[in-house]
Amino acid sequence: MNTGLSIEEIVFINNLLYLDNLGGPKGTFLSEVNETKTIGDYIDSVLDNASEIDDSNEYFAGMTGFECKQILKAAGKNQHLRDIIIESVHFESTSAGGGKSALLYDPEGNEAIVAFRGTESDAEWVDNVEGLYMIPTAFQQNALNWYQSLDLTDCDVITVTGHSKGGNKAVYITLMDNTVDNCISFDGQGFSDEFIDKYADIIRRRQDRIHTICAESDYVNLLLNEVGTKQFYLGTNYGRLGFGENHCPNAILFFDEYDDAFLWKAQGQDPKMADLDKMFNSFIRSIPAQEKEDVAKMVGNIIIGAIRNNQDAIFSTFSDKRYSESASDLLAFILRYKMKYPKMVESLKEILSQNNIDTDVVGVVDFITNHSFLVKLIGLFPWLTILVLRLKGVDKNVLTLLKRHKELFKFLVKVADKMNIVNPDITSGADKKIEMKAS
Amino acid sequence: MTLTDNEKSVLKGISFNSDSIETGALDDQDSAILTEMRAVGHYLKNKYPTHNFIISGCEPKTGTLRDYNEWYFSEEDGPSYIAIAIENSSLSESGVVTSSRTVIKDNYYGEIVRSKIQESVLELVKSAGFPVIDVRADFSEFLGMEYKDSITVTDVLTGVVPAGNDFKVFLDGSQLTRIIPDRSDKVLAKSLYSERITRLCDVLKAKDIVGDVYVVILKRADADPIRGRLYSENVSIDGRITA
Repeated sequence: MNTGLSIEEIVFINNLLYLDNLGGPKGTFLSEVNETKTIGDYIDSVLDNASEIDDSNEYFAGMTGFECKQILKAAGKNQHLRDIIIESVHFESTSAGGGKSALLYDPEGNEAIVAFRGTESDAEWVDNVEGLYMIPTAFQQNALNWYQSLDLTDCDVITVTGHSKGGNKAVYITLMDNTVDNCISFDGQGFSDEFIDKYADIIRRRQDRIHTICAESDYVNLLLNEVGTKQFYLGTNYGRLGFGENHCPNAILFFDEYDDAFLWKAQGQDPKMADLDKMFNSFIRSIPAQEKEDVAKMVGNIIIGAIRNNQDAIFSTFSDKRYSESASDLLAFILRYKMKYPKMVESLKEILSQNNIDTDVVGVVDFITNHSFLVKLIGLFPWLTILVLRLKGVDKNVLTLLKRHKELFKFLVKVADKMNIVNPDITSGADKKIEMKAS
Repeated sequence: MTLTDNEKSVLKGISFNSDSIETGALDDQDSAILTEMRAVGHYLKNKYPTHNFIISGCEPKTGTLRDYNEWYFSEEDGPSYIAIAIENSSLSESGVVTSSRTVIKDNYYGEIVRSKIQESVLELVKSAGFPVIDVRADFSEFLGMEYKDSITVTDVLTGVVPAGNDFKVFLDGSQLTRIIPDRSDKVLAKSLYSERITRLCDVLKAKDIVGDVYVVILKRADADPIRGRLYSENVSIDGRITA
């Protein structure tokens, strides 16, 4: 890597990309008004207006006003970062997902920095899950097209970076365009087995330019196969959003009382997340290629329901004929996996609940599918099932949920049937790796 | 619910529910977005009866601190402008919402006076003897129904119309060197550049101009504004010259 940027500076840049309307319109980093200004100019203008920033208000990507000010104050003390110029900002059209990115220029190293913000809209979430079965996805290609429209010929060094989906776009560009010198993906998701196979030769030649940084308990980087090297950092896990904060871009920044920021390398990935990583890979590999699109759409639908805090939409996904098969595949797989790795399911429930998904349904399914007589009762007398559950002392909330979503009974029978077929050990859960090129 | 092709296209760009949008069976959230889109459409027709603007996209407020959606609109093959719809609520002492109304604003007039404003500032700076290469103007505020096409450059420049002025002024540093004795002394050079920028801002203040002024001093008149820069500084002016 020949970038003049430190990892701390990369993390700051990725945080700045999210700042939107902080204390008023001038507080939007990715704004045409900021083009040609330096990062220092932006920081000063926002901090001049700091009284308008509500410390407790939650801003983009789970960051509060207080946390945004912490980031700005610490970043503002870094002269190298301050001198970086915001050359241009780029907004994809609404129909192209509305992704946002920036071209920055570091005069000290004559270095171009191309930075992508994370998932922007429902449409970008759709694109995220399309990565399970499409090569490339439409928005990965859009990002590449924009990158290739930039005139960077005079720059000595080109670095691409991004957080979350932005990180995935950065890696994609590095693999598809040989002009990139460095890629630093921050909590970015990986690529499908099919992608790794298709581009094995390019990956072999270019993966030494790619480095991923993650919070040790981040749960997005574990999706699909990583490319390049990876370093985990301790997460601050503030507690307000609980586990969910592990994917916030400020999760790995620690601050002292002098407004200085620090990163602390972790020894490795959180073991709970490593388990989840393996389970998800294993599940995806257990799905026939022609069914991956259905799985992707089902997952996408659940994610959008969670983002909108719409639990009914999530439960409807299970009974919706378009998604029911895939959802029952997934749930049967998880429950079978649980028998072998019980702690993993607890981790999953923790993640789901921190992302607004009610885990009662997992409890219900778990309980019922472990009692074959209940599965039979469901088919014959659904109301009797509820009575039995009540007598067994099942939580009132769970019973209410079942009464409200009687369509789930049919789904549960399907899950129980599939549990007899699923074998979670049949497919590997390890990331697919391409050997480095010989030096 | 029956949607036009354009409404379907815009909604599909921001929502995951493509199938239900196609059939018109919208969920609450998509339905609210459609209602707002139609309100913005009526506002544009009413405010600009001689134009045929079409809403081409939306940047939703979801996940941002903005309390409004941004609606992109344009005429066929024309540039895009932005309209916003803000919910203004009145609260009682106990915090209960007593009244609520939606205010729609847009940046069309700001855009059409932009080039005149740039020319005006450029002429002003040039006539004061500064080697000005270019001036760019941006506006952070949107202008609502109360602003008509009689909007003047002077009103915007002096803040009578609160448009949130942001000026970028690019100067030719090679022409400034005549007044900087020793450019090899970077500290001295920066202090002299800064002093010239203060004088430039005084010229603007003398005309009661308000806004943020970002002055970039380039190596030469044909230098790249990003890569050929010697110095830059951001100054906020409120129209009053301080001693």
